[in-house]
Amino acid sequence: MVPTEEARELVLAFADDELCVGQNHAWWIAVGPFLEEDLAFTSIAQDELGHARALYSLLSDDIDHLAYGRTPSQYRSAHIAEFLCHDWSWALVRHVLHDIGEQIRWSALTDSSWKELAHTAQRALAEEHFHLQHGLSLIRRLLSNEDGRRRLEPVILELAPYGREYFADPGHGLVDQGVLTISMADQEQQWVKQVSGLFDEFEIPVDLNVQPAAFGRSGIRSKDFDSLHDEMTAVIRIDPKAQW
Amino acid sequence: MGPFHRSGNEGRTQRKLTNVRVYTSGMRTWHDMDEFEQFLDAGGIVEPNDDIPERYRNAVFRFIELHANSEYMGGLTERDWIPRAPGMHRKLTALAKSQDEIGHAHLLYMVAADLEVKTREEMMVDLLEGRTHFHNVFHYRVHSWADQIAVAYLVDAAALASQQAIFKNCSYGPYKRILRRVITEEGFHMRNGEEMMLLMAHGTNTQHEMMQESINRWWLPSVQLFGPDSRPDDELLRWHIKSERNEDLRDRYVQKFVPQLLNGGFTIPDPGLKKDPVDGKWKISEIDWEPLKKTMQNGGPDSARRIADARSAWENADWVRTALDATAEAHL
Repeated sequence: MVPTEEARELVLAFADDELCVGQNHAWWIAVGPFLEEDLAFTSIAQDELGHARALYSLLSDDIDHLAYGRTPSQYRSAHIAEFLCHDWSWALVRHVLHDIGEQIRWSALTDSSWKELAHTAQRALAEEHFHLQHGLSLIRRLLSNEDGRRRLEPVILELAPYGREYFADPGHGLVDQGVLTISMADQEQQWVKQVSGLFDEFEIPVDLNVQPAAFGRSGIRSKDFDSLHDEMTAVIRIDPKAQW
Repeated sequence: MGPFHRSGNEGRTQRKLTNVRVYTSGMRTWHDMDEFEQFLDAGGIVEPNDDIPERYRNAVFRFIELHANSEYMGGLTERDWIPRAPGMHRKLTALAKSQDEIGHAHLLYMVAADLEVKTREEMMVDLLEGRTHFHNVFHYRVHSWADQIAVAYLVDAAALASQQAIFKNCSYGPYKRILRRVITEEGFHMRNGEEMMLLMAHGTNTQHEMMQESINRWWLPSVQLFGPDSRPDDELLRWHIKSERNEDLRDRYVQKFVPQLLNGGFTIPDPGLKKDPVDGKWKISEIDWEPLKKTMQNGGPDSARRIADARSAWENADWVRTALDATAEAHL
């Protein structure tokens, strides 16, 4: 099939989320809580960057231009993906919220009528199982501890509502076209149910009823994006025409 | 019970080793150091459940601890430029490389811990308190992307040459087995560095100048990585932990890298460098080892920042380790 503009918008937003989360997770190399966690977390970073690459490749042959060559307003990433999270508690909570979302988002694409996208989704979903297992087992163990809970609860309450932006709908035709097999609204419901269920186990009163403003999807960047983008493009900007 | 048995360590041979297969069926003992050294000279491989002479145990432990610390600090050295890596491919390879270094540190700390001189945590705390050391090259700051390339190309090649020499004839079994993997991965790093260096060599004027500046910064530290000439009585050589003398490794490195850099259109930052008309070999200037001694005592140009960064990361995450330990105990 020839993907519609709506389908391309969906893929671009997903790719931008993966690019930002991969970039942010990679920050933790050598400074994680212990060496095993360094390796686990940055392996996930590699997977996320790999997903971004696979998704951009569906849109253009010039992956680096899409990833690093656009102006900030041309990115479509959700704000939660852009946050730097240079505190481990923030990085972990974002990891869990993001990967619960990813599993749902990829699942809605594995039978897509856009065949190349479906193949990408099938591969990515196999990896997501491990990401989620890592994030959930870690956060559950830390929330079972008094100090762990004291540190994580305020972060969860602040960060979780941003997660709904992952499901901001780029249009209404994607299910009809067969690009998605689960509507964005239904995906969002699944995400809200899973996230609420997880934090209910620990009686953490997350309020996910607030409709997110979806600024990121409309081209308005979060407070952290400039610094993220400056880093991503620091070397390329020295000589954009050079081969690095 | 062998003569090297330490009182208070009765449980050593019964303990559960954290990461190694036990290759020998029981504890081997030697009557004295002469017999132990004959065993080593005959190509014997020591395993952690043997009755290891204390001098050997401590020497091999210190050597592996230094290697582990260096891999960890190497990961920290390179992390500054991973977020800035130019393009998706470079970012993924830079991240994979640093992951390899951290993975090596992880394996080496476990092998070192099995020698029961220090626990993993004690090794980490000693490093962060500045009581132990790491290789000279990781006391410098990576100032640019070209520095990152110089680390991959010059530093990793030097480290690889040292590790290959250890692997060739290493008498401590667990270390030798780990080195097989380390060497394979370091080989990829060096090839990756070589590819990037060639791109800079044949790239724009800006790229060439950047690379030259980095070669100027990293050449001497890379050559110094091999250390001063080996002492005639070097125990590491006698006990087959190392198999080649420092000066031989350094010379082989110089013979390989001087022509490569010159072919790339670069100069070597050594005014005394010359080709010997008799044997045709490149000769570098006499090295002043005094600054290296200061560097190795954690007094190098970026030592304080490097150690402070690592310590701050370790302390900030103390709550994670403590909470995980507490929940693990609760489930026992």
